[in-house]
Amino acid sequence: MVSLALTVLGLFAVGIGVGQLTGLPSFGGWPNAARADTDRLHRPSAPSVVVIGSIGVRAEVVPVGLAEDGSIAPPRDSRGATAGWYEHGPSPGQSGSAVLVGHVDTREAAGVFHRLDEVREGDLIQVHRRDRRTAAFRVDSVETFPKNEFPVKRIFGDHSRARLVLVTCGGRWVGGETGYADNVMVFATRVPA
Amino acid sequence: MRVPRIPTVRHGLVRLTTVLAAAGIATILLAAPARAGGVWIQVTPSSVTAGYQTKIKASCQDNTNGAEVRSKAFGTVTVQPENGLLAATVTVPASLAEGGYDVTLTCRTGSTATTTMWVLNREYSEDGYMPSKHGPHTGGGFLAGAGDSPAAQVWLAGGAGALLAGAAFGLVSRRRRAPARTR
Repeated sequence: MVSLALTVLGLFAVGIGVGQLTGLPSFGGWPNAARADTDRLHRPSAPSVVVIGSIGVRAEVVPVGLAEDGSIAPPRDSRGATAGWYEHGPSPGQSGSAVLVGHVDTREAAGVFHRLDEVREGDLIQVHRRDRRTAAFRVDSVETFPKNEFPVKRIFGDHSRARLVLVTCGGRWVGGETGYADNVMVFATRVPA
Repeated sequence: MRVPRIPTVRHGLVRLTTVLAAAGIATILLAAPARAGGVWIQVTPSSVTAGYQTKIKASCQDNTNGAEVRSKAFGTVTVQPENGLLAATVTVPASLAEGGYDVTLTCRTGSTATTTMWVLNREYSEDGYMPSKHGPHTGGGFLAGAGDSPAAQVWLAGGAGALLAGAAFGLVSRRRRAPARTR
């Protein structure tokens, strides 16, 4: 009887141990393990790859800054296949909004975020970082804003949580300086990876 | 004569499992206090924008009395008992330089624990790193059928065709003339 109880206890303990070592969820575990892992994502680290499973995107991410007109510069990749991380904002996983911009198209081809408007609330987005950690985000909303009403306050005014904002172009083609009339944006909040 | 043998094997197995399980439990009992009941400190969120608040949660062996938390980021604060733990809310000064700051808990017993808080401080003003209200230029028009306008392609194709035709015509007329000269 005693040995049976001990064996059961032992199995549970081993389960917790394995769970903590591998990061797999187990039935219990001590809160410290999860805590430590969460904290590491608050360390700054540039993103390297963004994965949006629901629309089949897996793309390289490069740092970008501001363009001459003060807008966030998209990556200088003529094929529009890479996404740009706004390097003057938080890293994905840190408090505040990490911003990724990507082309809907270029002159010659469809771009990395050409299906961004098909993303739905609840979809999962993963961002792999250069420190080999991954921040996961759950989509809260997909919204459209006129080109000259980019919601900077909403993006950069909220530091309460770790968020991810994806931006591309959309709406009617106007051409000239404007290009497309709108920006399609995805807002997501970090969830445990 | 065979009958007593089986219990012996079974006994051996039982003993072995007991010893293994006991060893396992001993390990847990020794290891658990270091994690669960030990001395630790946590800052949530641990990345914070300068000028904003963050919360400190900590634990000493005895959480009925306050303890001291120090950091270059905010000086010294006292974490007070709250739901069996120790807690305090701190505001990160708006002028604080960006970077990682150690946050150290010192219990009354003298034991300490340290964590890192990451401070973000970018000047999000019009002259700083705040993007303008103009959204990023992320479209070239290909999907709208506007990228390389058909007119340009017609010009290119037409031009190239004319050049080829011209070259061919030139070659033919040279060949026609050439035999006449040798005669």
